[in-house]
Amino acid sequence: MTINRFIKLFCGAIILVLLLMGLLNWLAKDIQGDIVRSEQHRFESSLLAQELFQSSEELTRMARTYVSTGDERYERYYFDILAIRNGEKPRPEGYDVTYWHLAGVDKAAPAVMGEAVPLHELMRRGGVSDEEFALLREAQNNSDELVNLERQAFAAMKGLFDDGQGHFSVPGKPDRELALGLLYGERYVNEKARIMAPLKRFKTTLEQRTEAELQQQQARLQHIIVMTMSLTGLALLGVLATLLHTRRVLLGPLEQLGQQAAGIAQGNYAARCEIPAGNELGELGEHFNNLATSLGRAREEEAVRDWFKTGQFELNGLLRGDRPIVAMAGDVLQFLAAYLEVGVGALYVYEPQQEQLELVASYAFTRRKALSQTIALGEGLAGEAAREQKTICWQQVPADFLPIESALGQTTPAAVVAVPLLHDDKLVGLVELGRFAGFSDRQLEFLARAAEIIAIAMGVSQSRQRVNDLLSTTQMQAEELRVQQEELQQSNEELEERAQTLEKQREVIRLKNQEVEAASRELQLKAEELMRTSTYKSEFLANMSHELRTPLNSMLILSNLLKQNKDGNLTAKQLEYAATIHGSGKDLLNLINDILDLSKIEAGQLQYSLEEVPLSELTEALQTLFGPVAEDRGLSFQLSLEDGLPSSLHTDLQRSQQVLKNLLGNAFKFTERGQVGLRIYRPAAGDNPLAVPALAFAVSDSGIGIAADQLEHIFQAFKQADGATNRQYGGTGLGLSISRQLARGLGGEVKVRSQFGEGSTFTFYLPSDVPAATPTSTPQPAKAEVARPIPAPPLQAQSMAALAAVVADDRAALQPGSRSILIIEDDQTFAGILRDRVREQGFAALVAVDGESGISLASHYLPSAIILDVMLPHVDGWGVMRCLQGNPATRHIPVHFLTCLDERQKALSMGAIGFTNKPVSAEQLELVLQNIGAAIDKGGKRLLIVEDDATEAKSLALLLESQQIEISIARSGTQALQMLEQQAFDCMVLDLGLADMSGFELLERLSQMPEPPQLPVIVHSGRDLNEAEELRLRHYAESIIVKGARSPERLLNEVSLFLHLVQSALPADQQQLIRQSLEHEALFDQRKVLLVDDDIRNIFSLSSVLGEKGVSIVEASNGQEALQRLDEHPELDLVLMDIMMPGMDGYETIRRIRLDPRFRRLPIIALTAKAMPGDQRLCLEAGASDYIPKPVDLDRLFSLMRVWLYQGAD
Amino acid sequence: MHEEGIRQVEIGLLLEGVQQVHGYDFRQYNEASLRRRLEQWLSGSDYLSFGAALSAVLRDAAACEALVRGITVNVTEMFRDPAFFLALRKEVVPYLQTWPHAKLWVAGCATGEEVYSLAIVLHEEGLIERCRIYATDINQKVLEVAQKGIYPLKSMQQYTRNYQKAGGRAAFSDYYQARYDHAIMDPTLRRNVLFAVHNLVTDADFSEMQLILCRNVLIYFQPTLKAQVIGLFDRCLTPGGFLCLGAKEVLEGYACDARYAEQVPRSRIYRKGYA
Repeated sequence: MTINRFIKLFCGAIILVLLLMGLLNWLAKDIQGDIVRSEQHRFESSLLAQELFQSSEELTRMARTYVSTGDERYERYYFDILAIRNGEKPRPEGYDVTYWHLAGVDKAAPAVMGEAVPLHELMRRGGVSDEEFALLREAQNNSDELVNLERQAFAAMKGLFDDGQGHFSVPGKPDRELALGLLYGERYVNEKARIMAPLKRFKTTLEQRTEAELQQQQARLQHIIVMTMSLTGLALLGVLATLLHTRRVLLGPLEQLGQQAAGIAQGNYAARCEIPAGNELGELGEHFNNLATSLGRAREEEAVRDWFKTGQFELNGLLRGDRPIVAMAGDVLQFLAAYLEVGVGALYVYEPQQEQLELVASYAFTRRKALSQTIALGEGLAGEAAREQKTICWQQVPADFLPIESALGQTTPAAVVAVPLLHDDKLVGLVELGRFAGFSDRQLEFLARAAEIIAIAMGVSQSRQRVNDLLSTTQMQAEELRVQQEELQQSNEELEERAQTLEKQREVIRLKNQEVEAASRELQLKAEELMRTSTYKSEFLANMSHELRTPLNSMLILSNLLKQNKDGNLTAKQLEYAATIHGSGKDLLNLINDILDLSKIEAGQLQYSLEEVPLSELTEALQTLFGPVAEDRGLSFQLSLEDGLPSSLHTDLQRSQQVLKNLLGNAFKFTERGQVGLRIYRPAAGDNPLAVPALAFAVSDSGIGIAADQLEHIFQAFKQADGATNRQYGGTGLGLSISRQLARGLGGEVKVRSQFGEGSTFTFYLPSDVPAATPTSTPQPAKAEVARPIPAPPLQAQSMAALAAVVADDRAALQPGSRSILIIEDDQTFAGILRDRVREQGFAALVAVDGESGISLASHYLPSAIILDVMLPHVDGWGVMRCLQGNPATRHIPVHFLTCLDERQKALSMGAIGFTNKPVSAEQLELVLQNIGAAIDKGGKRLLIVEDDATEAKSLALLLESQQIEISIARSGTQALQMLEQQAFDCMVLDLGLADMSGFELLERLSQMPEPPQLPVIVHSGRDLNEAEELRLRHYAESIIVKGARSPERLLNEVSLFLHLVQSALPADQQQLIRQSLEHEALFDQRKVLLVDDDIRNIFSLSSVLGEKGVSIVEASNGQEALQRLDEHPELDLVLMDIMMPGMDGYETIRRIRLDPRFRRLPIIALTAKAMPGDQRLCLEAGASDYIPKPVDLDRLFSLMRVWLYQGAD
Repeated sequence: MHEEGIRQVEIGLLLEGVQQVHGYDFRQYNEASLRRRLEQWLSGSDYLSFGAALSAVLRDAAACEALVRGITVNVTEMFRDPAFFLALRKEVVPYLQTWPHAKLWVAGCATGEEVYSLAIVLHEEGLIERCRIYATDINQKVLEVAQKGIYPLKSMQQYTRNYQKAGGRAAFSDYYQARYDHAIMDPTLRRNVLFAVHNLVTDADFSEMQLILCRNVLIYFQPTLKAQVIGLFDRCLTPGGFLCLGAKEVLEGYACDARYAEQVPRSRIYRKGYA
């Protein structure tokens, strides 16, 4: 049945039922009306019955009241009631029981009157049945009987009586008693009851009738209700059935359809509804199924499209951006592998030049088989695909194909595909993929599309790369050009600058030249002037002596004559005067002669005539001359000659006599008592101030002597020991000065030894044998000093004559081999002080007040050491130093700088042994001299060569010989140790490969000696050393030289470096620092510090300084080693970590240390050469506790270590 | 004040600021050359003036790095001045051989061409295993290039010619592998090379060196800075060590000049004396 029909049927049934129900209801209503009417009828009937009954009652009451009271009103009421009952009078509205009760009270008659209907009429109208009506009639009639009685009573009242016919017309006397009797008599009561009986019956009948009627109606009603209810039940059942049917036929399928629709909405297109055909739903279900099928199909197609699109989109995403192919390739392959669920894959790029494919990315790819990085065209599946430019797909793969691997195992792919990447029909690359399950068409299709995209991207990338390359090439070229331009411009500018500088320098030089020229012109003028002056002076002196002598001569002669008093006419007094005049004249003459002599000597005009002079001639003359004087003065004069003296001397007799005369004259002059002696002897070598063998004439006296501080003054012109002496003893004071000048002129010297108050000894030294080559006549005074072979001074023009000591020194007394120090200092006072100090220390002192003379003196006398000022006139100290260094003869002489310039480094670097700033204290000066003394005492440096190969040793010795050093050779380690024990060496050159012990062993044994010798060791190795060996050697050796083409030169340099360095190469202030920090400190004692640095120099200096502090050092030269050391020594207290190291740098090392929970709190101090703010932050970020910049300031390091060690000690 | 004066002031402020904030000190670079580099940098940047650049450069480390890259000259080539490398091989290597281990410092190595050149010479002389080369530059970015050792294939032709002129004993192609348009230097060459950032102006010496190679760096410095850097080199060099400068740089006129002698005339290879 179709739903349509079903609904029609259903509706019809419903309408029918509703109609039935309406009908039933209508019927019920009808019955209801009947019931109501019956009820009303019963009520009305009972009312009428009641009225009847009531009216009788009322009539009775009214009658009785009238009779009783005689009130005629009641009689009227009585008749009213009767009239109303009989329909003769209208019936008032609301005429009921109470009406007449109220009428007595309420006088006003009822206003409204209804229709006048007799009671029985009313009853008839009330549908009273005949039987009932009969009863009522009966009652009425009975009532009428009563009424007759009552009328009788009334009439009695009025006095009328029944006439017998029923009319009360018989007048009489009103009889009340009768009336009363009538009304209350038995008859009356009976009559009354006769009324009531039919009434009662009427009531009962009425009741019964209406009751029956009612019951009948109600039964009908009941019937209808039952019918209605059954109809309702029927309708309910019908509805229920319909519902059930609907549910089965409509809702079920609808639900099914709904579920299916929801399923479709959720993408489930497979579900089908199973609705039996035959109705619209069945059809709908079928349509729905069809819809789902087509939707599903569409959806599937869309999914495939989506899959393609998504893949392409993602691939495009990967290929987007400006990235090189190689960078993309990995991502692309990874994507393809994931998208196509591929187990293994590789991506190649085609190299057109090589015509081969190059592997740029791989996926899950193990290079196990002979899979090369490159594949030639046609080689294998991939190569073939590339050559054919066609995709090749194998769905069945040989067993030994490249397996797909995972941690759990491996298997061969089921299918392999190689897709060439073609861009503009040109091969750009290839993708090869392997899969467990074989490739579906869809995957292959996708692969083909992906290949296109990848190929395009690769093509684009390649061309972009090309463009970029071109661009960068251009940029680079431009940059290069710019830089070249820059450099060119730069050098141009510099050239210009230099040209300008040169120009300026040229200008300066030109000016200087002019100045020099002017100066030299002036000098020439001065020289000429000087010459003129000198000539004038000589002429003047000659003239004056002549002019002076002439009058003096006559004066002397005349005074002598006077003194003789030949005439005898002079008094004693006058004779005395004459003697005084004569004496003074003689003194004056001597003075003039002395001055003349001195000026001649100084002008170099004095002529010496050298000849063989018999010694006896000299002594005899002196004996003759001074014998009488001695006698005269009461002194003894002893002349003693040592044995073995030569018989003659080659000298100027007159001049030597003059000297001796002078000395003896002085001796006699200053001696009051005692003796004067002349001893002639050969002085001992150490006593001889001359460079050549000499004869000494010692004139000794027991006179007043000379104070030590006056000793030098007495040789100066016009000076005597003291002004008072002059006055006491007379004399010009020129004698000693002339004597010394003369002695020097003769190649000799005059020396004095004296003690105040105990006499003095003047010794006149004369060369005893003069070389034959010496000119025999008129030698220049300078030449006279050239008594031994000395190297020519560098300044040839410098004549020794100009070297006359400005500050008196010991040059004259200097003997070969004696310890002397040359002082080059332009401040004469300070030079004097220095000289005295030098002498105090037992050195002979030489003093030069300018550079040139300093150089000359140095090369002439070859002093043991030199104290050198820098600020010198003409040639300054640096120049002097360079000159000294340039001259092989003077090169080894230790030089100590003493200057106000602060150029310690320069001085030391030039090879000075020491440097002291002026002004100096006495203590400092002493230290300087001690230092120099030590340097001199070392004398010739001693070098030990330890080398077991004789030829090699010999050649080394030859190589180093040129230095002024004493070379010892040890042929074995044992011998070397012996030699080192026995004597001190200044340096050792050690060959590592010895026969009896290795160089390492030798050095270790050396350091274990009870008093290890402190000497620099230079290791000379024939083989390469590894770093560990080098580090080990560095503990003992200053320098390591590997033998090779250039090693001799380096050896020579290093040897001389170590031999000539008094102190180590460290700058002095740094040494000072080290020394200050040498004291042990409780906090550092027994602490263990790890020192990590790749610079051996640093490890070395720090470990030695820290070692002195009592810290024990563990060394590591790189990060890896540091971690190892830490592991071996977890008890380390602190780490000093260099940052810049090869391999693992400091930052990384610190980070790794911090990873170990043991070392979380280990103090680490970073040593960094970098000063940028970021670098220091990096140190701390890496985990360093603190940092210290390089070069390391030791004080700062110590305070940092104190802080961290103290914290660590908690 | 006219425009030029304002520009001067701006440059001064920029240099001062960069020094104070980032620690790079260019104030003692050669004025004329620095000015040219700065102008060039500005024209290549988005800033309208040095004043506008100042704020960005001070706040942004990357901007500052770009400025540093712009100012410093990072162009170099392999075996530049073949004669120099020939002299190095002939006259310096024999001395280097006398040290058991030698340390060499290429100061201002830029993109590292000279480092590889030096390493090749040492390799051919059988010295590379005994040497450690410290390659330093102020600029982290160029150091990264140096560390990778990848150079354009095009320049290799020029380098090959240089190499041959510098007395190369093998085929230059033995030392690199061409791939795409680039040549990758043999990584074994840099096994003993330590690349590190080092600022010659502010940083101290870090090790004792047997040879220092610093060519065409000093020309960009003012005389006082030059003297300071040469002093730094002098402190680092061991006696008998070598200082190699660029063709247009000379040691004459500096405080330590007296201690040095030019090993080969006009080679700019100076040997430190022992005195």
